Amino acid sequence: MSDFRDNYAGDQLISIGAKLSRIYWPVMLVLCMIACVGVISLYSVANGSLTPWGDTQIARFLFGLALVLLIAVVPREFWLSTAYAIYIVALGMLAITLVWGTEAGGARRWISLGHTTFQPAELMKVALILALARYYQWLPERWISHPFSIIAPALMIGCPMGLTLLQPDLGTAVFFAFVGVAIMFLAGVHILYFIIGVGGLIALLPVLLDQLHDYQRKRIETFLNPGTDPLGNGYHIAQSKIALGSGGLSGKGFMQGTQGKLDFLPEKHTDFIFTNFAEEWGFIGAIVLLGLFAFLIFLLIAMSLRCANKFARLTISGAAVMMFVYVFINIAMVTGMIPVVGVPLPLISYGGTSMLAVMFAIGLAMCAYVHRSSPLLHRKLGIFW
Amino acid sequence: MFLQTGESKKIRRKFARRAILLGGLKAIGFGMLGTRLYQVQVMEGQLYSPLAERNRISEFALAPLRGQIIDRFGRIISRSKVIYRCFITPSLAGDVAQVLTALAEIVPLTHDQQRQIVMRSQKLQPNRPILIASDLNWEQVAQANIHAPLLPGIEIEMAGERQYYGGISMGHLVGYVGSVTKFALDDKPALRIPGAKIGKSGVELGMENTLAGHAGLVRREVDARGRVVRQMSRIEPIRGRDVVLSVASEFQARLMVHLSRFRQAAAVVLDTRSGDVIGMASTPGYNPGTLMSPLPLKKWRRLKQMHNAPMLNRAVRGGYPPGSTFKMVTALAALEAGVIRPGEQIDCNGFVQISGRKFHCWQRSGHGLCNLHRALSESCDAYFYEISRRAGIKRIAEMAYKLGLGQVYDNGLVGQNPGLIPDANWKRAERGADWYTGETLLAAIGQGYVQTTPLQLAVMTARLATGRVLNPHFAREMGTPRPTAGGSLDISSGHMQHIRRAMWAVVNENGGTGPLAQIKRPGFVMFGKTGTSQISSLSSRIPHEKLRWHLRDHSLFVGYITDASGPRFALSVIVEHAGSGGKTAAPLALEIAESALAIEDRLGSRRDIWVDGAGITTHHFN
Repeated sequence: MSDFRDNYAGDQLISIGAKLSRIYWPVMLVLCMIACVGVISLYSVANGSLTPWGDTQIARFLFGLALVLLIAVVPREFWLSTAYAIYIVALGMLAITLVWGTEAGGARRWISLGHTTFQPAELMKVALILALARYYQWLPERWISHPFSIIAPALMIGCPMGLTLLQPDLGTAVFFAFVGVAIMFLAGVHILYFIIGVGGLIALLPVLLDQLHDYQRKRIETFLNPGTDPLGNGYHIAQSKIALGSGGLSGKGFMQGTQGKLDFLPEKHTDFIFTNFAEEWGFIGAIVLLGLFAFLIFLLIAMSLRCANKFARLTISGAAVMMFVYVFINIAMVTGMIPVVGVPLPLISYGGTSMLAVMFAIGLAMCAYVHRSSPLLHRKLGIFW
Repeated sequence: MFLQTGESKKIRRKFARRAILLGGLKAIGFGMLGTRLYQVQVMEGQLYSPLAERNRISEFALAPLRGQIIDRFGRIISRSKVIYRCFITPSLAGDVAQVLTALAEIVPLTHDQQRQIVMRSQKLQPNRPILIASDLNWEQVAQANIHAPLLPGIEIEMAGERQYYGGISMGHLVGYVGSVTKFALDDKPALRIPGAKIGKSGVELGMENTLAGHAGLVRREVDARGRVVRQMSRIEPIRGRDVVLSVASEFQARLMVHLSRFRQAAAVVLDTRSGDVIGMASTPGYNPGTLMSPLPLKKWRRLKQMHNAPMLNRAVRGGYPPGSTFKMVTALAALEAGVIRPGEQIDCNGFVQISGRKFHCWQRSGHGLCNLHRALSESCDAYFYEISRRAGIKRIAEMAYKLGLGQVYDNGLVGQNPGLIPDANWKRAERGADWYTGETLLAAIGQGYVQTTPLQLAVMTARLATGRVLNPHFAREMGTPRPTAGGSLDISSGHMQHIRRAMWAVVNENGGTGPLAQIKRPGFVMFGKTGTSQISSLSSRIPHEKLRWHLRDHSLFVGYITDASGPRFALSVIVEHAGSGGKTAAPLALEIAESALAIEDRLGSRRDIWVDGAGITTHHFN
């Protein structure tokens, strides 16, 4: 009954106020809680000061919140019609990075924009979700598992993967693969493709390992045997473990962590911020933060199940997968489960681009959710439909 | 308006199924993370916790006191006076300027000094202590300790200030200490202490490992702000061990007086019973004590670059052609090779001609018929040209090495010049040319490529006098056993006797070249050999007085003194650009010999630490 009413509620044009009322506020609340943890950690890492990181992070988060609301009230048709364009722009920027990007630590990952730098790979993460959701929204149901229909999404995933591997940035390439494959899986592509894909990957693994850059191989080597290079690559993991371990069950208390502050920790305010948090708040704090992320992902999955169209479901679950991959890679990395790859902890790590990317993805999910029951207006969709 | 057709129930259910499956995978992923965190934080937490503690401990080194250098009779030549130095660590002080103002009431500090320290504290690492003053007296130390709560970041450490008591006559021997200018990765922690000093030359450098001692270590726990919570442990520094020298400073002073009549000269006196160096001097010299107070860079440069090189210890670093003092080597080489008999006579008519080139004897008119005895005592060059031609350069070089030339000795004297004993192999390797017989002739009379140091010549003389392998011991760690004298030289004693008799004749027989070295004291006899080594070929044609000073011949004398018990002292003397050896070096050698005997009379009853140093210090042996 309510479904029927929802589907035809009002007109195709819902008022902005109505859209805002449909926003799934629990998600916004969890976002704020996670961001608070981030600011507290940055405050602590800076030795009890909002400068230089905390204040900037707050400003970025508030901007991000506004962005979520803005994206959410924009008609869904706008995102559908610009999805490929956004993807192309992101891909172009990735390519530009390779040529004009700023080099740091042996990789070109940043584009310099005046005073700030920008990582196109972060934008690409959202663009990939958007483009894949757009593709499967268009693709008729019976063609989903047709071999020809696999080519386009495979290219959509493969192109940014190739470009990031050239940077070289193995972590982000793996990120694209995870998110892309997850969306294909959710779109309903036949299970056999995934079985064959995973099998093929395992078979090709020795060849792929051979293609790794020296620094990547070294990271994997020191990961497998951290004692060999305690002051080089193993240093990061070793110091991180020391900090985590010294936190114990209940932690050293807010502002009492010593490892992060005394500069023993690498990237203490970016990729390794979780270490400082877990040192000060202990295992309990770490589990609470992990729980917040899990709850956010749970809410997103729940949102996706309530949507009637594929675009909505795929954007929302794309955001959930993206969130999961971020959190999993980051925490697995700082706890020494996987080699060190440069992936930040979303909303906690200091960094503008990753914050924007996460908020953009959440915004798109929210937009899809807000418009979940409105019919898709094909005439507004432009020529590519 | 066109409404999208509703999708099938089937695909929506499929999505729900897969979304839940994927959600399950995510849950498993989070479960893995949680398990891992439990493992790292709770199960292994105890394991990592001590590691975190280590990161919070700050360590710093305590300077050890440097060992003393004392002479043969226990007189202190060099020691480190204990001084108290005051440091400030900016990260502990907080407001550096304010702390300094408070400190200025105890330790006099001008506003200018305070401002400079504040400026330095802003430039340097905040954890690095900055030296404020290095001459605190006891009262100031006590005051600073009382007011410690008002002086955060101020620390007072004991240090040693090097002092030298031997003056100019010991300068070249003990050397001096200076700041560490270059840090190496494997440096001892003591060298990183601000103001650390290391040996730069002489025994200070040569015996650095003995003198330096070992740094202590203080470990403190610091909190997250870098504040010291408590001192955890303190390992006291180990004082450096003392070094005893074989020389007596009284004799050194006399030696220096004798030498300082000349512009540039050097002398070495050895004890022929053991080979020990009992005197060694080089003029001009320097007083290392003057280098310890801050020396203006300009003055330092001038000292290092002066043309007469006062910093150069000519006795071990100066390479001189030995001239005729080398003739004993040539004679012994020929005798041992059997190419000449001692009585065999060779006619000297003033020159020898080899492949068209004339090699002159210093006496242009010639010596006539010479046997070995006459050839050595009158220093006939032609005789040695002939026997060297017969013996060959290889045998001469071998004999030179046997007698201690062309090598450095392991005795705590750094920067020894190995000199040069040439042979055909050397010339091919270094000059890429064949050896000419003419060059053998030049080497035979200690000219050409041959280079020796005064120390080497003294060793050669001591070995000639005793027939034993004597080495010039000079410095050793206090309390360690005295090095033993070497065994026999493995040269026919009959041949040695011929040489010694000729050396006696040089000084004590009519016609000898060194009568001015004749000792007057009854019971003592001087044996010797003069040398006049040519610097420029002009000196054979132009009268000595008219030649420019730096082109004049060097004046050399080597000799040894015997008493009823046998040889006592061997010495070598070189006076740069002073003409013939018989005229300048021989009388100087006599003066030195008489001083040595006089000093021995005076100090003979004193306890000789060099001979018997046991029980003087409690340092353990290595």
